[in-house]
Order: sequence, then C-alpha cells, then structure tokens
Amino acid sequence: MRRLLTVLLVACATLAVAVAPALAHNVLTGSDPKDGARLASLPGRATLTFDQPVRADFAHMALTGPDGTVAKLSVEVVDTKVMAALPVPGVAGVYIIGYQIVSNDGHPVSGKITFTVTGPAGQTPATTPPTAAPSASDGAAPPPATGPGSRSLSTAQVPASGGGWVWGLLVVALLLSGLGILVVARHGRPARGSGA
Amino acid sequence: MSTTDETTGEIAEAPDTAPSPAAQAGLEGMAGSEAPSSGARERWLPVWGMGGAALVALLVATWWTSPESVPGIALPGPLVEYGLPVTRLVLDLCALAAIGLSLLPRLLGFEDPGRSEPVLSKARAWAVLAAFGWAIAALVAMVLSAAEVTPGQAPDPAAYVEAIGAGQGLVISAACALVYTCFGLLAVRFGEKVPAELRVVVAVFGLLPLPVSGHASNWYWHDLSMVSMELHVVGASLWTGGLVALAVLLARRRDLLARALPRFSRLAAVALVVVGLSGLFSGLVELALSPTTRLPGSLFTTHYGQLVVAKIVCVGAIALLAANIRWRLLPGVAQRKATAFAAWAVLEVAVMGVAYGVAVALTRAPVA
Repeated sequence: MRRLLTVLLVACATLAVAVAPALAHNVLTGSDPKDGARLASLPGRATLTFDQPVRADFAHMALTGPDGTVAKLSVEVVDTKVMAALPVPGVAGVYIIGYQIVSNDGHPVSGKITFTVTGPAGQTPATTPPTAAPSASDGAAPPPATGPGSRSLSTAQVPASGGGWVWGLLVVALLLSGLGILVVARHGRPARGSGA
Repeated sequence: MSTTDETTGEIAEAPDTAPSPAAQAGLEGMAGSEAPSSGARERWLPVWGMGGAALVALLVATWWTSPESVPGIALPGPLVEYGLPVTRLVLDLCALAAIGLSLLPRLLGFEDPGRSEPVLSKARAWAVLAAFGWAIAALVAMVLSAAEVTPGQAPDPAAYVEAIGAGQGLVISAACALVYTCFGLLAVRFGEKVPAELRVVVAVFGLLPLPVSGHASNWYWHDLSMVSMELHVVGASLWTGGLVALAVLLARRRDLLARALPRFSRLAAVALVVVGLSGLFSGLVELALSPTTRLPGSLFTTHYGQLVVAKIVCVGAIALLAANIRWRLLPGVAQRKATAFAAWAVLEVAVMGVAYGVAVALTRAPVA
C-alpha cells in the first residue's frame, strides 16, 4: 500500500509539473459604462474588464436597445479588456450589453451590463466612435486596424497550446485497447480459479 | 436501525436467483464459506444508491447555479446545460469504479487465492467495462463542451481541443481509459500476473488531466492549488471506488471482507484527511482570490461558496458514517460475524454520491 501511494504521488507531481498551466475562471471586474449607470447619451464604446487576459476567440457582445432590437457588436480583445464600438444614434431608454467569453479554463462566462440613457431621443452622442463603427452588423466584420495585432498579443498571453497531438494519443490508445481485445479473443476463456 | 438489520438478514438468506457463469465460478471457489451469493438486485444497491444520489444532487445543483439568460447572447440549450454535467458525472463514476475495482486485489491480498480469485476475476472484467464507459463519456463530454462554447452553431470538437486545455484534458483522459482497457483485458486473460499497481496507476493517471486543465486551477497560487486538486481527485476516487468495490463484491463474503476491510479502513483514514484538507484549501483559495467578493460572506452569498459548504457538510456526514463502520462494525467484521456492513456501506456510498454530484456542479459554477 505504501509503495502504491508513493507511485501515485510521483505520478501526480510529474503530471502537475509537465502539463502546461491552465488558467482559472475569468471574472468580470469592471465595465465602462458601469452596470446600473445613468448616462446623458449613448457612449461610443463599451469596455468590459476581466481579472485575467481574455481569449480572443469565442468572445461575443450584443447590445439590446430600449425597443428590444439586438445588435451584435464586433469585439476587440486587448489583454484583459473586451471592447466594442456601440451603434451611433442612441435613443433614450434602458440598454443591456450582453457578453459571453470563454474563460481560460474552457468554461463560458456570460453576463450583462444594464444602463440607462437619459438624454432626449435622437440626440447625437457626445463622443463619436473613433473609427467607422460597424453598427448592427452580424459580427462578421473584421476588427479595426489594431485588431490582428492585439489578437496575436492576447493569444501569446493566453497559452493556447496546439492540442492536435492528443488525437494521436487517442489513436494509439485505441490500437492498444484493440490489442487487448484481440488477446482475450484469441486466447479464449478468462483466467479463473487458479491464481497461480 | 432495525430496518438495516432486516435488510442484511434478508440479503444473507436470499437464494441465488439468477446465477451467472461468473457467480457460479464464485460458488465453486467459496466451498465451505457460509454466505451464498445473493441476488443481483441487492448486490447492485450501492451502485444504484450512489448513481441515483449523485444524479439528483447534480441536477439540483446545476439548476441552482444555472446562469441567468442574457439578452442578445445565445445560451446553450438544455441538452448541453444538463447533458454536459451528467456526462461528466458518468465519467467520474466510471473512473472511480475502474480505480476501485483495480484496487481490490491490493485490499484482498494474495493469502488465499482459492477464495479471492472468483471475486477478483469478476472485478477485472467489470473494471474493463467501466473503463470503456469512461472513455466514451470523456469523448461525449468533449463534444458537448465544444457545443457549449459555440451556442447556436454546430460544435467543432477539433477546434475546441486545439484551442482549449480542457478539451485536451478530456481526450488525454479518454486515451488513458483506453490504455487501461488494454491492461485490464490482459488482466482478464492472465489474471493477477498483470500487477494491480500498474492498473491503478494508469487509471489514476487518466484522472489527473481533468483538474489540471480545469476550472479549479489558479493563476496566482497555481502550483500549490494544483497539487491540492490532484490529491483531492486521487484521494476521493481511491476512497469512494474502494468502498463501492467492497460494498458490491464483498458485502456478502464475510471471509474476504474480514481481510479487506481493515486494509481499506487504513486507506480510508488517510483519504479522509487528504480529501478534506485539500478540498477545503482549494475551495477557500478559489473564493479568496476571486476579485469581486470577500471570503467569509462569499461562502454563503455566491453559488460557488454554497456548493463548497454543501460539500463540507457531505464530508462531515461521510466522516460520521465512516467512523461508525470503523469503530462499531469493523471489530465484528474482522471476526467474521454477521454485521450490518452492507446497509451502512450503501448509506455511506450514497452520501459520497451526493458529494460527487455537487463536485461536478462545483467545477462549472462561476466563482463570483
């Protein structure tokens, strides 16, 4: 029993050291506009801040307007921040930014930010978006000029190690298992009774 | 516990309703021992008890922690939301069955192969089936996880595994389970010449990638909480798996139980301390490092904290039940007397099932 435990401990230690560190669950730590904020006009950009670098793939944001229309936003990820330009003319009312990212441990993290625009309907926003913001597009539009650079930056920080090799491992394991079945099938009855 | 005693009495006298070839082999090997092999229903009671308790606990905990709907964002459907945790639970239960059944030769020892061999040959065959179930569950969980991160679209498992560590962990786990079936099948053919340690190590190795690539890993105290999680998973599966194997295969075999239970009891004592401390440490570190909540309160205000509390309660109940078996039943078992071990073991295994169900929900619950 002691030998068994020793072997297990060594195996644990080996694996814990060998496998590349995964990161924990991301948590939203702040946002601009803040949840529950009351603003004079719809801001040009929305920024969500998480406690850890965010994976650029699988990040989504959507803006639901006071009239219930949903606009998918094209998302830009820089380090711990997820940003999106908001559609330009914003009527007064309650807006909801819904977001979903895939946390560094592979679990989806979703939530919403609710804020109210108090300005008169049809008022032009105080800050115009810096770039031509793709409003209400289906998220298929390419990110702004800084997009590719920031994307590769964040992938460098979040170790998305190429995992293709595990399929080879699976195939080898399948072959081994088949070998075992073959041995049992070829050599007939299971061992029983003798023990020696 | 009068019902308990009734149950065991019934079981001990129940005729062998449907003797399988394996059970007959068991009868041959046990010439001279007192308890006849009992019916299939009572034998599988620990498995049903554990599986049922785990499933109920998991569904309740998943429903309790399910994320609120977000306008404009597609959320995974109920098939994924409930199917994925259930698949993970099946994975965990199959894995602990494989580990417990592989551990059985170490618990029984080799003093009396004539008596232990029929039980062990059954354990070897079942362990292979459990490992196949484990491999399939891991691959299904991988596909469902891929579906979870791209709701509203067809899942792309290849891209998921390529990009996300948890997917790689599931595939590695499935591969380890398949490697286990190879050794397990060799053991089915060649008996205990294939060392039990080897099978236990391969099976345990298959569990290790899951926490390494999972939720509970941590950015700041990564190394320490990683080791703690690994100890937790390994300890829990050896402990639970060992007890399930004893309860299913040895509960009616007083001669063999008298030999195996004292050895298991020592293992269980170590496992209780290791699992309890490592679980407490991991859960509290996860909560303490959560940036948006503070610790004493978040234990009760966050879903994650509530599930941690539920598991602490489970560990307390298990410790009491284990102490009952250790101090009240073990002396009788060691003297080969009739005891209520079977019923108490079913109860303890069912509480362990609750802990496993909550554990699966805990790995998915948001920390804050």
